[in-house]
Amino acid sequence: MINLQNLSRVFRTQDVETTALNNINLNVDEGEFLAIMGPSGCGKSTLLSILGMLDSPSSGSFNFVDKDIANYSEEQLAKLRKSSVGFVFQSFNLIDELTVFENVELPLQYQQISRVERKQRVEQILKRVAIDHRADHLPQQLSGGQQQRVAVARALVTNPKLILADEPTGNLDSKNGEEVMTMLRELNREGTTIVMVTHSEKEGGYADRLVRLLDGQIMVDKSNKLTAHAGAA
Amino acid sequence: MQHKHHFVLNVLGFSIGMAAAILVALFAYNELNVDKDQPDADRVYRVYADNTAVGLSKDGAISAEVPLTLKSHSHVESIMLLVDTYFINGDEHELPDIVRVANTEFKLGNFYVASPNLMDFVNLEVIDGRLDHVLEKPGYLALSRSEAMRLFGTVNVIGQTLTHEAGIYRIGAVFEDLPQNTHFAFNVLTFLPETSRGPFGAHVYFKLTANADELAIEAEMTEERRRRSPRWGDTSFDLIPLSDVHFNSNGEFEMKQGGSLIALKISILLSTLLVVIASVNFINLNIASAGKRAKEIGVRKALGATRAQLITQFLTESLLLVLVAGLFALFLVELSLPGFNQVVERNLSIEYGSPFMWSVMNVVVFIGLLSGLYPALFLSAFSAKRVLSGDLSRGQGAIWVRKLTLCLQGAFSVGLMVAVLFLYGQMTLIKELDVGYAKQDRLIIRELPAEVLYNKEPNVLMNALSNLVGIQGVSLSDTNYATSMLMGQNFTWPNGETLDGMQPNIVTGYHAADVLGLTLLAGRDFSPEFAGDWYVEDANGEKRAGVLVTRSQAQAAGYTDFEQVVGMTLTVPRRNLTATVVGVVEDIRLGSVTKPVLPSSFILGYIRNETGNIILNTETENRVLLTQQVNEVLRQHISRNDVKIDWIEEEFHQAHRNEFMTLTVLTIFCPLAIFLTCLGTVGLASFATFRRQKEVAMRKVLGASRLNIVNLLAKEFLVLVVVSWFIAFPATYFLIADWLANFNERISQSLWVYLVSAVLIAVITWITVAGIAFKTASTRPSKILRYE
Repeated sequence: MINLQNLSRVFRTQDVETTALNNINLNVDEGEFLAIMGPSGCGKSTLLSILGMLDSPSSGSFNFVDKDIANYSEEQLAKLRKSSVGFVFQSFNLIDELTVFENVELPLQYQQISRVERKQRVEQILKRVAIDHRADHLPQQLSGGQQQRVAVARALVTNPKLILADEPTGNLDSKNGEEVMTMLRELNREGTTIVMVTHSEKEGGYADRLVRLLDGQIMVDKSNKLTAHAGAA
Repeated sequence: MQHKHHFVLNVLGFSIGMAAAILVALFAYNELNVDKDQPDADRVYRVYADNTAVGLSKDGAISAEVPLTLKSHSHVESIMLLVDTYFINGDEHELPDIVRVANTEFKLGNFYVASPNLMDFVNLEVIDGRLDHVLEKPGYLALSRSEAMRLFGTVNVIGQTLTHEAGIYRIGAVFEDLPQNTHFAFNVLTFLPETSRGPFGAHVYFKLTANADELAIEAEMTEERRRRSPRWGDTSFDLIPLSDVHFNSNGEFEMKQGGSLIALKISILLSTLLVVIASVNFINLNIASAGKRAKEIGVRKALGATRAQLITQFLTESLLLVLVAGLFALFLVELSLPGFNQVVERNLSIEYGSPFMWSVMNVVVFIGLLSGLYPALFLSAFSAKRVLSGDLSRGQGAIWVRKLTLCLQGAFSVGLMVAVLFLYGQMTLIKELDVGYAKQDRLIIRELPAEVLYNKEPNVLMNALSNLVGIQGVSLSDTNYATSMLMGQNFTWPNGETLDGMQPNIVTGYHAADVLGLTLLAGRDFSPEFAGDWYVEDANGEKRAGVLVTRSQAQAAGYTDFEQVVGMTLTVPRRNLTATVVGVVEDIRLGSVTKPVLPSSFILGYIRNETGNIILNTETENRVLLTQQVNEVLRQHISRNDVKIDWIEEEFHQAHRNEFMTLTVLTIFCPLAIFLTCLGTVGLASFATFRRQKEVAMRKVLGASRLNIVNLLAKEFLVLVVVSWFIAFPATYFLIADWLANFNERISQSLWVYLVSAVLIAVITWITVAGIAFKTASTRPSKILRYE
């Protein structure tokens, strides 16, 4: 589904040039659960941004479902992203003035889906992540784990091809963190492709495949299936 | 980068707002202090005669006969008289104002007689000679500096003489020109002679003792008048304090045109609002930028800064900022004073060290303290950890204050825009008002000797003028009818009716209706073919002349068929005058349109004034050339070279100076107010978008377009704008209605003006917010979400 070839991303300010990603080659198939790991400053957030169509590479190719989108304009990226990618962030990034229902509804509003259909889809998703009993609450009234579940619901409501998670359990305690990771595993079993960025080995253990980055380059790229089974069991 | 822009904008906005406020406050301060420095000003009053009961007005130039009877009143310390020689010359004394110096003729300007105690009432700086001697005996003149320069070219003129038709004047003193901030305006002074019936048209000033009861003195004078002539029944006298006289000197027989109370009120209001808005903007923006520095504060605290040190830091910073802005404001004021002085027709200037400037300093420092206080107290109170972790962005109370002030600013802008539009509409109405005579293309040559002008036979001067290319017609008028009226005639009609009240009568020459642009309703114009209409006095003292009467005059006398009125014989028995109606014309308005229409008439040739005016009906592309040619003709026929020539439409404009000036000031300040409001919006908007950066980024990630984001942020402001409408509309409505009530003819306050202004301000607000929001909306979300 995703194919990166010789992908680089260089940041230029007035005085300094930083190469965040250096000739990355990466392939992600549908249904995979990928963890991208590495120390601070290795470029994983940059990679996530590019995969999530929030940013464009400086050079190289980015094939998303057989189309090279490396040179897509912002509008084009936005359009594609809207329908293909769902995001889960470390600090949830829910909108405080909106209720749980409205938060999850938001991406559908921006896709101009009718009210009736929106209601239906949102209610369905809320049930799926077991947060429907809090549909009218505000984010401040929920615990961290509950907020992240809402974020996951929001990511899912558009039926995306890909879910990108940036340190999803970073702000949660171990119990809530486990709940969220388990939920992600289930979603992956049901067919959603997940790419997760993390620097926690524990989190990384939930994925099927591990990619390690260092200074903008892929050091390791291998399967994790054995440990994954161990974590689930 | 952004911070620098905001800093500059902040200082600039505050400076401009303060500069504008200072300018207007200077004007108001000046108006309030007119004549306050005259000797014993708090005990000096001018006597006004309130003749509104008999159809006239409140006059500041009155008959001194009755007031003078109070000379020996225990509470009246002294009385001073100042009378235009126009009222003295002729009957019992010869005080002509046309003089000759070295073969050139001049007309003395602002020529007054004064009682010898003038200097006890008016601050005068005598440059040369003895003013008190001049005022103690006849035959001597005191000249102002500018008049001396005009007549002689030097101020060393003591002992020089001016010849006039009845003798000579000797110059006995020269005094410095009167300053601008006084209602007194005379250029030539001379001895006040005895008159048999206390001078008419006099400005009478009373200096009262400290314990005087003004009301009692007014009552005494009113009683005395009633005793002497019961005819004046319900009229009364008023004592107006000296410093208020200039608000009550907009009539015809004043030394110079004064100010208006309305203009003063408006300028006080404007100045206050500008200070409030500029200050609030400044404080808001300061607080907002302090909020952005929360992290810096946290770090400082973590490094060991005490609360006191932080407070000092913030207060010092904001004081410094406000002082810089204040200095820049003063710079702007100095820069714009010349232009502003021209608009408001004053001589304003900043006196560093005056109480006014101290107040300004106090206000500025106060604002500085206030704007530094919130960040100083609020931010420094929080623990370093909280500040560093970003918990600071709430501050609900502060947000409400900011929203409220933005509302008020929006209300101010809307109100001002509505006011400007209505004022403009009213002034247009005034300009286009049918005044019954023609304003366009009419020239008036002012104050020429009557005997040169008013001749029954064809007149060399007038023929020469009418022969000029571009002159369509020539006639005469004894008064500058665009600004004033002179005398009246109360006719007795064939049916026995004699109307009460003032009925202005204008003494004209031939072709009055044509040249003055009157509308004939019946009958005909004065014409040389009917020379018999010209005024004539026979051996028995019986006077006859032709008249044009106006519609309302005939109607008030009971006649509706104007054809019938033509040919009627009217009489004024006490003057032995018989007038034949030659024609009926449409009503005319004399002077300012704030005054009601009086039933007027025109008479042919019966001139009783020393001077008259020539009226020219012109048609030319080149006005400058025509005026030059007219001047040339005048120079050839009269040896005066200081003749005043003006366009009637400008004279009309002059009669409404105060209103036009108010319009100009408001028109200048309206865009300024809008600018300040936009500034406030910019500040608030950038803070709001900064606060909501993450939310905006998240929405973009979820698929919001730039327009979605802009509208989301702008919505918050549009709500405030709509609320501001509800504040602005009622306040503006009542203020405007109050102002319009001064005019007899007025526009109605139409709804669409309110709607247009409201929508315009909303659009401007939206564009301002959109500008800020657009930038945020365009930022890549990855940039913001990256720094988790």
